[in-house]
Amino acid sequence: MSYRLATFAVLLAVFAIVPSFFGNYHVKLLQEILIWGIFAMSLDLLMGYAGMVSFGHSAFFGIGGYVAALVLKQSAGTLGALVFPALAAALAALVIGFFSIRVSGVYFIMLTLAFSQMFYAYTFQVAWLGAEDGIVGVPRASVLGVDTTTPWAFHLYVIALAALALLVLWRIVRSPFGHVLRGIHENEARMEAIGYPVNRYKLLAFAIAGLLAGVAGSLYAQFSGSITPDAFFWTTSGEALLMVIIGGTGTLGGAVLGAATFILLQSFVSTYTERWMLILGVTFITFVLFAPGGIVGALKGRIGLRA
Amino acid sequence: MTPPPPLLAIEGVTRSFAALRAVNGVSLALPARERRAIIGPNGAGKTTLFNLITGQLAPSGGRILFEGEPLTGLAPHTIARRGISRSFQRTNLFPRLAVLENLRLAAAADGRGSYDLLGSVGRLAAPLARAREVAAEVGLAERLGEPAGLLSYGEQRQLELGVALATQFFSAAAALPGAVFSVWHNLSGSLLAAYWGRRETTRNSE
Amino acid sequence: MPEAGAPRPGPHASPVPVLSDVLAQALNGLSYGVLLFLLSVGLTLIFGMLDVVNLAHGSFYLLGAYAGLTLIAVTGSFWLALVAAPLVVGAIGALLERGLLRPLYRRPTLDQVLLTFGLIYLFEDMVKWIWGGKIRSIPVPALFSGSVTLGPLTIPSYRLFVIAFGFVMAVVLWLLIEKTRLGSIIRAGVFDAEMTAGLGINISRVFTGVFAFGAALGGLSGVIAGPIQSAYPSMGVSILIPALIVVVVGGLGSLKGSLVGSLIIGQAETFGKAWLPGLSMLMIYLVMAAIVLLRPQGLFGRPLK
Repeated sequence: MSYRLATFAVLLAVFAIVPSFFGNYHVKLLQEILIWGIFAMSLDLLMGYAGMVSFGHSAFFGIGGYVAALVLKQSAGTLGALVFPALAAALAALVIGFFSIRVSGVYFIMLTLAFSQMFYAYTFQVAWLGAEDGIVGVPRASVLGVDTTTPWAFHLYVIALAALALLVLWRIVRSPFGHVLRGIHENEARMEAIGYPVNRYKLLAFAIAGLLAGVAGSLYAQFSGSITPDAFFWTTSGEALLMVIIGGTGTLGGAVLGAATFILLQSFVSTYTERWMLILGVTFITFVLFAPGGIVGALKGRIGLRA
Repeated sequence: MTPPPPLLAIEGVTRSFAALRAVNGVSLALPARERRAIIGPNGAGKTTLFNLITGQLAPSGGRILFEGEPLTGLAPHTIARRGISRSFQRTNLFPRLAVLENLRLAAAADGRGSYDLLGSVGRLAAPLARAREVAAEVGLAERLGEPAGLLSYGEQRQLELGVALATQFFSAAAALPGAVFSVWHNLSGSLLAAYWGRRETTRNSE
Repeated sequence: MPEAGAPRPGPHASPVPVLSDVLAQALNGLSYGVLLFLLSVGLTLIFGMLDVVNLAHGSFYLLGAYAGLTLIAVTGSFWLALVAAPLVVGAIGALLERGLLRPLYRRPTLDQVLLTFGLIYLFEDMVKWIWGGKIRSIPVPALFSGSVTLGPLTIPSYRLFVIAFGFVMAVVLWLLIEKTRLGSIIRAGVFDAEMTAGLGINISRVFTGVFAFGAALGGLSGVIAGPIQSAYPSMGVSILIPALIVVVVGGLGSLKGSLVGSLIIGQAETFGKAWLPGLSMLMIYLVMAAIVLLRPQGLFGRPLK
């Protein structure tokens, strides 16, 4: 256990000093990986632990991004950077989740997809949200007294949030609540029969996942300085799904690995060949067919690491 | 002297699936501290009746009362919390979870501590203790760490019994903890006899 | 290709839609509906029978359009492309089903749905690789290159052809599904695949056949769409959601549902884009959500298992 904590700390330290050795381009890549990592980890909570495959997770990512953008442009503080985006996303998740958990399987996929597309359609059209161009000029903020507007500070801020997200999710999946989620994933009907109000647990999981996705979205708006309706598009949800599966569903850390795989393929591979989407598709299909445990699953099998 | 009200009262219950009447006006009054067996050929409607009692299905007509309160239309988890537990005809466990975890989930179903987001399962002592106790009662004390899906069929039926037993809710009327009413579905007579025997032995040795 | 339309009204025209405008949009909606219909039939049958939402179904549309593009360029004949391209796409569908999906049949159906999602990336990039990323226009067949004037309306003949073709295909498909033995096997398989297998029918061959058939129809839709929409690599992704909505509204597994659904959604999207752009799509998604929640079997789908 302490071995893993030590590895984690070392990794964080390495990430923290990346800007000293690498240029702007690589630093931004790392930050993007961490931000998408938070988004993908939140989806992993839903998929890997509660067993709910959602194609509408981008709704909360987008809400976080847009709320952050709107508030930060007025006042660049903690409320805009963290509090309001998280609360808005959690609220939306409660509403959307309330309806969505009434169905399961393929219908859950289609319902969650429909909800996120509603947001896409709305933000694409309305002028007050910038229509197709979205909102630009999103500033970075002073969060909890710490100024994140300098490149260094922002870099550490992203790392800190990603680490926090991982730690919080790690505790949650090991908690009594997390164990209930896993029971629901294994056999929902039996959990219902032995007395668990299953819908309540699913809704809570949905809300937590939505909240974290909102944090990721808010971070993304601060990272790129803008947010567009594409954040809501169903392919954004799909990309997060890809990341979770490639990394390893139900492993949390795998989601970050999956995010790294996706983003590195997109950026590095595309400098050598234009065919990164093809490679991504083939990789994904290969994992689904032959390595359903993802990267983490494959590593565990080879090196024999414990769960 | 009037007889005590039945613990479970089934009154004229019917259940139809389109044109098929699976359960046709069944009435049954079950007093406390008694055991009944429901037997019949395939297709007689036994499984449907059990599903009606524990809430997986709602009756098309009639009503079911437990301790005088109607159960009709309640969700399965609500009915379970009234004090009714059951086993299932086809083994209905948590295959990738260990035997101990299967039982612990059942024992922890009263919800106390289950919304704890950041705590540790080990600190919920009561469900863990109950789980070990039940494991001993059903003869699975040696198999606690094994994933349920890897048990033999017989062991899985034992675990099936165990999960139903470990579910315990406080019943106001009976003023006693413990699954107040249990539906043993498709558990062999020998399995139940072995369990009852072991329980007597454990009790006698206290 | 121009849309069906009336001569533009002058600067003092009334803001209320003119009948000819409405008719023009209705015809556009109808031809779009035909494309949706051909595409969604495959999607709905595949779901009905295999319980798989084939997210890569838009890729068959994409492949059909590009196959049509190449066949026309090579042979000069639209009609040859109309016949050959669906066959090519159907063959690809068959290979897909046997090679990639069949190994997953013992796994939860969600795994198959996820696999089809990966195929979207694969096909889109392969198309980009072979044909380049730029939009490619596809020539209208010579026979229909003109326009027809009906009263105040001027309609490109090709659009009339598409509508007529759709009508013919609807009848052909109906006859196939309702009146032939093959059709009854398909209907039985959609209703209950396990039972159908129990009747001694080689259900895995039927699965492959239905998948290939659905793919071919999707490819047919793509070929026909080519002269209207041109061909571009993301056209599969663009039409997937409308096709999904059609299937949800019409009912998973139902041919009639596909027809009615695509007529409705075709008109809704066309009029919506013209009159109330953002709001109309929002409402369409609301309808989709409402149906999944309140009547998941759609208008004509089989009652859920």
